[in-house]
Amino acid sequence: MPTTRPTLVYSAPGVEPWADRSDLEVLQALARDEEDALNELIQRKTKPLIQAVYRILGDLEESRDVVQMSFVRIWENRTKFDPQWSPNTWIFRIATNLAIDLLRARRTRERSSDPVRRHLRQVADNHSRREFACLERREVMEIFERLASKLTEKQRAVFLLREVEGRSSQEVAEIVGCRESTVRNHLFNARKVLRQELIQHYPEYAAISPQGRQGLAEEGR
Amino acid sequence: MSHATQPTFGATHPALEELLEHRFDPSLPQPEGWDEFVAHLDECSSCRARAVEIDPTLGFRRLPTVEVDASDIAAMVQSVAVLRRNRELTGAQGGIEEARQARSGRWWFPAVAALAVGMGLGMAGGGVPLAPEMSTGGVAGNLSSLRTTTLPGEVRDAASLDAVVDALGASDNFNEPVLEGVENPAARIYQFRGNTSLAEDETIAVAFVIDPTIDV
Repeated sequence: MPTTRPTLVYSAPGVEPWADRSDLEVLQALARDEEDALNELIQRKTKPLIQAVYRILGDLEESRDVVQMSFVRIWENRTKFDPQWSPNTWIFRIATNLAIDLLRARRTRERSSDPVRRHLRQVADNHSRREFACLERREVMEIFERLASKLTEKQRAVFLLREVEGRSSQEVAEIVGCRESTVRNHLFNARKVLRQELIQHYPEYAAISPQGRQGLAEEGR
Repeated sequence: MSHATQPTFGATHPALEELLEHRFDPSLPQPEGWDEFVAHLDECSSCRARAVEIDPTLGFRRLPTVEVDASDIAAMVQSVAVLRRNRELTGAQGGIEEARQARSGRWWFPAVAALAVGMGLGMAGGGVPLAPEMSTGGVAGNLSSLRTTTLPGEVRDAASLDAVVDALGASDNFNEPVLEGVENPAARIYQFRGNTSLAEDETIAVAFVIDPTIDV
């Protein structure tokens, strides 16, 4: 008579597997000093966090550093999480603040090497041009990196979280720690600066239509 | 939203211009259907070209995405654990540089330094060998780049690291250490900046944890 081998069960009886638990439950387990909860959080959030932070910083290695430190901060502040908050917003807020701090520090350092950077950019700019909407993603990133240097850290974070990541104004406001109306202002000003910079530095990509030119004229008033 | 069921925005759909008006006028609310519209732009190159012509900032929706695979996540789990242990051991509250060191494998430096000092305290009955011989293999073997510092006799016999710091302070190639307090009133942490006689690499800081309660 054939015998059936017992199925291995890795979780203790009565304990819900991590995969079935919500982010909130994982953070609550973290507050109870359950180290496995931190590993579960890393499994879930590494990718979206690296994605968001990479866009803010434009440097993959720095993004990994920031995300790594974010998880450590999450662990160190695990008892401070209020279950009334959105777990995702709290996590992204920690990572975004670290990214903004790093961006500020980097800008201070880079000011001293501005002439060299300008030269390198001019060299890099001597490439053939194509329509902006058809550029490779990597090329779009290079252009954004150059133009976004004119944005404040908050404007840059808001633009990326709202326009590129597609998060709601309310969520962006909670992540960067300001009011929704401020998010809208940051967003409007960021777009305005980016358009102006594009016209100035990449006029060949700023083939703006009559509607666009009219919009710019109204915006400038 | 696809062209199979919907006409191309802009080419046959006059709403494209109207949908974009709010981007130039902060007093206008975001129009209904905006999210669907931008999702459509990601898929449709002709509509994207038309929209980007009106508002070039829409082109930045195509910033690159990052590929993160299972090995990246496993590496993150490991490096977060290392960084946590390191911070718990040294009491460090530093910034991103700490994370970089943890990922690059330099995490062991302050940890081994602390352990070495702890062992020195235990064996010498209060004497402080600042840079003990590290000729063994494994992690300690990696410390061979450290220059062994010979301490003056009076310092070797001193009961506290303060005397060592004073003695080293007299040399030319020495940076003043940062002294950090910890919860244990008897314990102290001395953190030396890199690029000193102890460590050639300026990205490395050396931390000495002096805790008489450590039982090695």
